[in-house]
This record gives sequence, structure tokens and C-alpha cells, in this order.
Amino acid sequence: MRAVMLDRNGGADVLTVSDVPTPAPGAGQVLIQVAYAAVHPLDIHARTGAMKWGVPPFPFTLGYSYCGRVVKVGSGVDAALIGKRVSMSGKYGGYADFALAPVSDVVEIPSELNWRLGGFCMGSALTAWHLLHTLARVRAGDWIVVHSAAGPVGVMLTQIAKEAGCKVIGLVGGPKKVEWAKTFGADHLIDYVADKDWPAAVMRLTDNRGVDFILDGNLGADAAQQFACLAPLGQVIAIGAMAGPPPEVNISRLIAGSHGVRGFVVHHGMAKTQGAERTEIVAKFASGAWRFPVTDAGPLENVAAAHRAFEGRQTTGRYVLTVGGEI
Amino acid sequence: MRAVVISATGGPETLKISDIPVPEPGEGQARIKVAYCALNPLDTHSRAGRIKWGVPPMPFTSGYEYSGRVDKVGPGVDAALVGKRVASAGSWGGCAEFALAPAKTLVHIPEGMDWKLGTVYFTSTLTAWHMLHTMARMSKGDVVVVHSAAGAVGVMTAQIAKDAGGVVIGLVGSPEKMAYAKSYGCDHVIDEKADADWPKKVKELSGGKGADIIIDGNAGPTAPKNLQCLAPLGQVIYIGAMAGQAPDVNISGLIAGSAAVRGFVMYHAMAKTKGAEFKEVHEKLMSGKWKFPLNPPLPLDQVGKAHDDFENRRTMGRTIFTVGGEI
Repeated sequence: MRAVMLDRNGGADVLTVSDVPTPAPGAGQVLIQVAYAAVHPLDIHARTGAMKWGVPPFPFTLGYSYCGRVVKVGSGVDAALIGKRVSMSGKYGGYADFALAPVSDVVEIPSELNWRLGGFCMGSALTAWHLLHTLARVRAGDWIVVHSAAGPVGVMLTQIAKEAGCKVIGLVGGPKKVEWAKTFGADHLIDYVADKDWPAAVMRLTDNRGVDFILDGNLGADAAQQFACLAPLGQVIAIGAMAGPPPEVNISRLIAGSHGVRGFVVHHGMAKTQGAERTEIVAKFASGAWRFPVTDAGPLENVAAAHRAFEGRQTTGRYVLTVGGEI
Repeated sequence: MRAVVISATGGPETLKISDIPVPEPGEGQARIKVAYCALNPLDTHSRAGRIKWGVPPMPFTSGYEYSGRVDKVGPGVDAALVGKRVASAGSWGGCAEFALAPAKTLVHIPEGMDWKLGTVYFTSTLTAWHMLHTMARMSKGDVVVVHSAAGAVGVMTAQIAKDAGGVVIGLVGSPEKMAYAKSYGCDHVIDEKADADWPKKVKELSGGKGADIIIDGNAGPTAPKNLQCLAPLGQVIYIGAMAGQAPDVNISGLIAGSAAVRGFVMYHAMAKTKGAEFKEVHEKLMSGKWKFPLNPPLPLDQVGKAHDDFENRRTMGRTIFTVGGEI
């Protein structure tokens, strides 16, 4: 079978498709015939070596988030799973025709949703939903800045926050993304590449009020400048560090502005609610009330170019490689 | 008139009862005939030189928080204010028979509330209320850890958190304070001086979950201990730094635990709610549903000893001094 095996850290050029034997499921595992696999931030981090946590030893198959059909089960796994459409996120292996996953990690795709939507929408939707409702506990009238507003989590944050009665300012890189992100309902969009002092623009847009939440998956060396557009009691919520580590924050300065910094990983939110939000989320997608943008990264062989496009911030929404396609 | 004057930064011995002229109210000011003056932490900080912000040049009259009756107003102030019972906490000068304050910062003491409670209730009670409700957006079942649980903010935080359905763990620095904090409704009290590994105890007492909200006015070099017992999605809220500066916070380090570090000053929250909480707070205090930890008033000549007791953490509850008394 085809597989994108990673045998060393490096740039996108280390990604090549090779021919490897199809694996067999062990105890507690399922074998999935892969339909589509995303270019996920954690694929980038694992490839560059920016992240070690949860990354298997070399060589291993990349592909952190993917969907497909269960074709075989290992011992101790209910055979009724065979034939089911599932999505998988949390273990590498999806950049291949077949992947192994622990049965406890696969999630069945709701029958109302097609492959490309159902295979990828839930992760971003759950992250956005829990960030806003379980963690931040937003209220109508709150002002929110969403970094990477054209990204998969960004578009879900925008739609869910608007539905909760919040005012949303999206940050995107480039005029094309401004137009694209607009269609998801943000009140304002700022091209942070064209306007480096975007916190000043946020202050103007809020009439010097400032915002209650800034949702940031980028961080990086410039992360401290955004405190300038936080309202009193406002918080920066970090969900990742795509742009590298941020500077440290002084607690006395937080006190003076009644400001806060928070971190967030979705599984903590999910553990708290035990999935109570799931039915609502599926219904919103099925009815079309929420949209989730899946964009085409081409066939598996296009993996290196797809990683380059993602790292160059040229992609919008969830950017997915076609592996088996509509299987 | 009699006034407690500080002429140089130093220990409690620099507090001198002196005879100085009665001041005249200037533009926008009210003159208050002082009934009682409280010992506020900022009085000790300004005397010792620990804070500079907002502290008048030497010599100045101590007394940041006090009550009294308006007896004269300066130009630009409504004369109807004369005769009103008010409390002030925003400028110094209350440790004297007469004090000047900006008229717009005065709080009216509710009808039916006695002078002594009227002097001190609002800073500690509203700090506690706003931290839990306006800032933390606490919900029923939250585990709330309060540092300095025998102090006034601690005691009020415990009662208000209990009233909102929280489970309260108080931290104190001596065995007598344990009994005192317990008498105000803490579910559990830990002597953090006797038990340096108090975060472990918090975990045990909360069934392994940890704290949802930690309120800390001490900070200092050991502040990172708070993060050791924070539940996922939990928040540490700093309201002061009695024990000195805390180490800076690494934002990326907060992501994996979905942890938050926030700062708080009350006036930001008050500006947000515009007094919507006053009715509930007054009713609960005046009906005795919430007990305010008020000590019997001391004569003004005890001011030096009171500073010394407070700085050596021997004080439980709020200290007030009789100036004009029941005027």
C-alpha cells in the first residue's frame, strides 16, 4: 500500500510516498481503509520536530487526522464495526491507504454527514464549542478576536460565537482570506499582514472598549502586543503556538489590567460535559446552519506541496488530501 | 484636628498622631467628617514604601478606607451631598477628624446599615463578589480555594462561593486562623504554613479533581504551587502580591492543563456591572445571611500596633479605628 513514512525531521521535501506492507490489526485495534487525510498542524509539528509529545519513533506514517471505513478488527473488538465509516484523530498513520487505530479512539461518522464534512468537522467544531461555552462561558454582547479566522477552528469559532450573540473580529493574512472569511459571519475582519498594529485597529472597531476574549492558536514572539486591545477582565486564550513560543507574562501587569491568560485543549472540555453537546453539533451541520469548509489538497502524492501551502498560510478551512476518496 | 501623619517611609513607628489644620475642599471634592477609619492593606504598603502608585507626597495622612458624613463641598459639587453618610476607598486621608475625597468616588452607605459595617463592607465584599461572579463566572459545584481565608476578602469569598453552590477550601497560616475560617463556612481549611505540600491536600479534598478557582492575594515566589492543584479548565486569580512578586508566566505552559492565570482589581468589574449587585449584597449583609468579619473598633492611638499585627499576619477579620464614632 501507499504510505507517507517519516524517517527524519525536516522541511516538506522529506515527505515522499513509499510502498509498504498493509498492517494487520492487533488486540484492541481496527484497520481503516483511509478515505481522506488532513494536513493538520500536528503533522507539521511532528515533521519539523517542533513537538515530541505523542510522536512515535522513526520511521512512522504521518497523518494525525483522517477518516475512512473499518475493514478489519483485531482480537477483542466487536466485528460489527466492520464497514462503519469512522473519523480518527489523536494518533498518526492516516497518510496511507490503510491505517491502524485503537478502537477506543475512533468515532463513527453520523449518517447525516458526507465523508468530507463528517470526517473532519467534529474536531474543529468541538474545539470551538468547548472553548466558547465550557471554558470562556461567553455571554451575549462579549467581544471576541479570533486569530486565523479562515482556519477550520476559526470559522467554527466565528459561527458559534455569533450564534451566542457575541461580536466577532477575525484576523486573517491577506485580502483573499478577508473575503473568504467574511462569508462565515464575522462582524469585522482585519488583514494582520497589511496592518501590523492590528490591536490598535481592534480598539478603533470597539470604540476603545477592547475585547473580552482573544482566541489564539499562533502565539509567537509578538503575542504580548495583543494585551493592548483587551478590555478589563479580558483574557487571551491560547490553543497552540504555530508561530513559536510567546514571551512570558508578568502577573502584576495582569492584575493592573484585570487581564488573564489561559490555555486550552479540547479533551478537558469534553471530559467535563461527557458529550452532551454532540447531538446539537451534528444537527447544526446536517441542517446547514453551520458550515464547515473542507478544501482540496489533491491526491496523497501531493503531500509535500500541501504541507508547503499550509505552512505558507495559503490554505483556508480544513485542507485535506484524497487517499481512497469516496470509498 | 487630630490626624495620623506619615512623614517618612518606614515601620509602624513612622505613624504619628499630629495636630494639623482642617482641610478645605477644592474643585470636585467633598469634605467628610470621619466616623470610622479602617486599616486597609494599602495603608501598610504606602507607609512601608511597597507601593508608589497613587500615594501622595510626604507628609501625608494615612487612611485609605473610611466612612463619615459629608460636611462641606467644593466648587462643582452638588450641595445636596452635605449631610449624607458615605464611605470612601480611593484616596488617603481618612485617619483624621476630617478628610477630603473626590465627590464622584464616594459610595453612599445604605439606609439601615450601621456606621461600622458601612465603613468596610464594600471593598472586601464587592471584591469577593466580582471575582467569583463577574470575573470567574463560577458555577454550582466549583471547587474554590481561597488564600488568606481568615482575612476579610477570604471570609467573604468563602460565604459568597458557598451561597453560589461552591465547595470552599480555605488556606490559612496558623491553627487559630483555621478555626476562624471554618466558623465562616469554609468546607475545609488547610494550614499552609504547617503543610507545605498543600496542593496535594487540595487534590485529595476535591476527590483528585483539583480546584476550579483559586483566589490568591499573596502571590510571591511560591505562587506556581497554585498550578499544581488546578483542575483542567481551572483559573488562578491574583488580587495582590502581599508576599512579593510571583515568577512570570509562560503562556504555552498553560495549554496542556487548560489552565488560566488572571489578575483582578475590583474597579474594573464595578465599571462593568454598574452596581447591579448592590441590592443583593446589601440585603445579604444586613439580614446577617453573610457575616462580615468586623472586629470591635480600636482607638486611633492603636494604629501603629494594628499595622504591626497586620504585617506579621496576626490579624483576622477587618480592623477599624474610631475617629468621630457614631456621629
